[in-house]
Parts: sequence; structure tokens; C-alpha cells
Amino acid sequence: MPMKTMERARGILAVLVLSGVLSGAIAPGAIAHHSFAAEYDINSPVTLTGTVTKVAWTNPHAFFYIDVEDEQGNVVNWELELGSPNMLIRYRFTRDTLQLGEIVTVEGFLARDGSNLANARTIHLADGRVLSAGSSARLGDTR
Amino acid sequence: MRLTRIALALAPAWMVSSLFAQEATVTGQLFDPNGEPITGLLNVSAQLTNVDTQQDFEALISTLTGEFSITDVPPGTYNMTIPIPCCLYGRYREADISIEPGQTLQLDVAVNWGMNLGTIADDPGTLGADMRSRAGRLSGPTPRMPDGKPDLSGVWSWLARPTGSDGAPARPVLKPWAAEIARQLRELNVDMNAGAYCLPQSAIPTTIAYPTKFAQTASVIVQLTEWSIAGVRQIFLDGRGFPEYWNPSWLGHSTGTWEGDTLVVETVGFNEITPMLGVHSEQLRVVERFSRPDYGRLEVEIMAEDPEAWEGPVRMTMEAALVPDEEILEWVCENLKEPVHDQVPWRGRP
Repeated sequence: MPMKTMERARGILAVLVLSGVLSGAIAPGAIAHHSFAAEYDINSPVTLTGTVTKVAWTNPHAFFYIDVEDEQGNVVNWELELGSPNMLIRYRFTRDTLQLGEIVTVEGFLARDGSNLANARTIHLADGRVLSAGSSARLGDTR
Repeated sequence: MRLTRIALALAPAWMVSSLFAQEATVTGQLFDPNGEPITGLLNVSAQLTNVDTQQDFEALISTLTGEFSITDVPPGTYNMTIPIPCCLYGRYREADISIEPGQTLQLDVAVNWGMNLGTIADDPGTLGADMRSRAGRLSGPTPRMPDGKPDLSGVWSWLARPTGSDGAPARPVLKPWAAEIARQLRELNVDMNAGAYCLPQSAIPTTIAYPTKFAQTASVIVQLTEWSIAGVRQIFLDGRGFPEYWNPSWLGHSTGTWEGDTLVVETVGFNEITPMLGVHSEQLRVVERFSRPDYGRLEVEIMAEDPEAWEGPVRMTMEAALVPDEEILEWVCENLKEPVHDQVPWRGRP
């Protein structure tokens, strides 16, 4: 097979193989280090108040969980996503900053998939401290 | 025209000053969605474009306060753009701002969250700005090794994302087969960045936004980069060539030679998957030219070429500031939900 033709055939094959790979189920929610804008809806802000039940301090993103009581008195566990522990620790936000059993209020945006999941852009701690992104709260020194 | 010039030249001073007084000043300050001033922006300008003449007026936004002042703006209708780079804040646009003669217009610019939706601790740009702010602008003679060559050692924070000669992000022109793969990925709206799947994020660790550390000896430079696996690359300075036996790899094989005070690093032996510059082949070749013009600055010129996948080379420049009190942290990309490595949409050609 001439080189040019071979290259072309290889390219076509690659595209076909790629199509096969891509046609498999790729759930954006399963991407570990994803775009927040893809997973969460900026038009769906939410404020949740609840009790911290778990903190998962993992890269690339940390999560914490809170029990929230809804209007009917049902307790629903919400999953809330943060940035990376590597960056959080530089803002003096450690795995112990959120205490189990502590009541916190979290502002964020709801997940597009409708699950009990949101990103955390501001956290009001029980002791009155406010942790958030941006200029307003660098969480002190970013050491 | 000549008459006009003469008339202006002969005009009394009050008349001239009243003519210039027709021009307006637009001042403002940027605020985040929490209502706090946005600080830490580096080399970001507020730009006004006259709707009728398309003439541009701009002013740099203060890194410390988020304020700006655009002067000598002729009256008219303008569109304002503030191109804040990714990711904490979005780009700002406002159309049809009416500016009256001689007016001083004060604008409070409310900027929305960017693609990370304001998530706490998810913006390397803010982190880098904080690091550089703490370090200040360090100067002094270029440190040198015992043999007189510049010593690039230190922790460095990049001042901006890599850009091409026109100031825009550098992107290769893809050959048809590569363009077709890129098109399919776009159409499926999936992120081809392997970094999104806990795999390496760039074929060129120098281009990763997080801080990087060089530890230099006479025979090798070890580069540590946070936020991307493998996180370590070796740049061999001992004169060795490309190995006879080599598995194509994520970061390739790097060797460096000195041209005067510039370290020229050539990297080949990449796999076909590593992202950053778009779809490429194993023929990708990268040349980085590092120089340290003074104690506090590192400059890099990058040339990347791929004769199999790209129509021509891509060139970028970058600059970094020394942040000597910072350190690189361990980075292991875990995943809480389920293994995702086998879901990476682009794994190279068979």
C-alpha cells in the first residue's frame, strides 16, 4: 500500500475506532477533574443548611456531606463539592475545618442531573466564619 | 485639513482646552458576585470599543483594587469588554454604553463567576497571584552554577497562560485526520483533556498553570509540577541522546544543551494521547528555550511541531516569577466515584 494511502487508511481506521470508543457511555459526572460549569447549573443557585455528616478529603476535588431537613421533615443527605485539598490547605482550610455534627449553611449551584449535589462557593461555619471563593474570602493567608 | 490645523494652532488656549474637554473619562471598579472588589487580576484591561468608529480605548485594571480609569474617550456609544482569563471569573461584556461630552462616568462592574462557578479553592490563577504578591518582584543578578551556566533552580509561578506572538492562545492547524478527530470530540461535547480523567494534563509540564520547581545539577534538571501526573520530568544535560529502546510516553524524553545563557531543551518520544495543544501524533517534537534574565524572572520560548498531525509549528512564550517561599505539594489524582481511566475518549490511534 502506498504510504499516502496507508496513512489515510490509518486515519480513517482511527476515526472509526474513536467513534467506537466515543459511542460508549461517557457520563460527564464520572469525570474526576471536570469543569464545574459542565456539571452544575449557574442558573440554579441553592442555599442549604444542615449538619455535616462526612468530609472526603481527596484530590482532585474534596467533598463534604450534610443532612438537610426538607419542608416535610424528611432528612436528605446532600453532597457538596470543593476545589482541591492542595489548594484548600494553602487557604488554611484543612480536613478538620468542617467538624462532623457542625451545622453549616452552604451556597452553591445545583447539579444539572437533578441529584442532591451542588458545588460549594460559600460556607457559613457555626462559629461565624465565612469561607468562599474570590477576593472576598481568601481564607486568610494562602500559605 | 491644513486650514483646520492652522486654526487650531492660532486658537486661544481656552478654546483648545474646551475642545479637549469634550472627551470623557470612564472609571470603574470590578466586583465579584459576593459584592467584594476583585483583586489579583494581572495584565487585564477594561476595553471600550466605539460602536460607530470601532476605535478602541483601554486601561489596565489595578491588581490591588480592581479599579480602572479610561481617559480621553470621545463621546459616543460604546461596547465594553473585560477579558478576564479562566476560571474563577467570567469575561465581562456590556453593550451600548452612552458616553456624553466631557462626562466622567463611574461604573460598578458586576462580574459573574467563571467556568468553575465560584467553587472554593479551584482557581490556580488566584493562587498564583497570591504567591507572587507575597514574594514581590525579586531582582538581582542571575544565579550561576560553578561552571558559570545560569542556575534555573527555584519555585516559579507563571505570570500568564502561554500565548502566541499575537497574544492569543497558540493553537496548531490540524491536518485532516487530526481535525476529524477533534471535530468528533467537539460534537460529543466531551473533554479530551486526559487530566479530566486523572491522567497527565499536558505534554509540556511548563505550560501547566500551577507552580513548578526546577532543581538543577550539572548533569540534570529535575522539574516538579503540581496538579499533573507524572509531576516529575528529567531534563538531561550530560550529552546523552535519545534512547535506543523507548516506550512512547506522556512527557517524552528531554535533553538540554546550552546556547550561551539559554538552555535549549528538546523533547521527543511522546505518546499520542497527552493533551494541551490538541490532537497530535507520536511525531510531536517540542523545543523549549529557558533563560533567567535576573534573579526573579524565568522566560520560556516554546516551539512545538508535529509533521504528521499539524500543518506547521506552534510558538508560545511564557514568563514566570520566582516565589522562593512556596513549595510543591504531592499530587495524586484520586477519584471518589468510579474508575474513569478507561473512559478517556481519545486514546490515540491503534
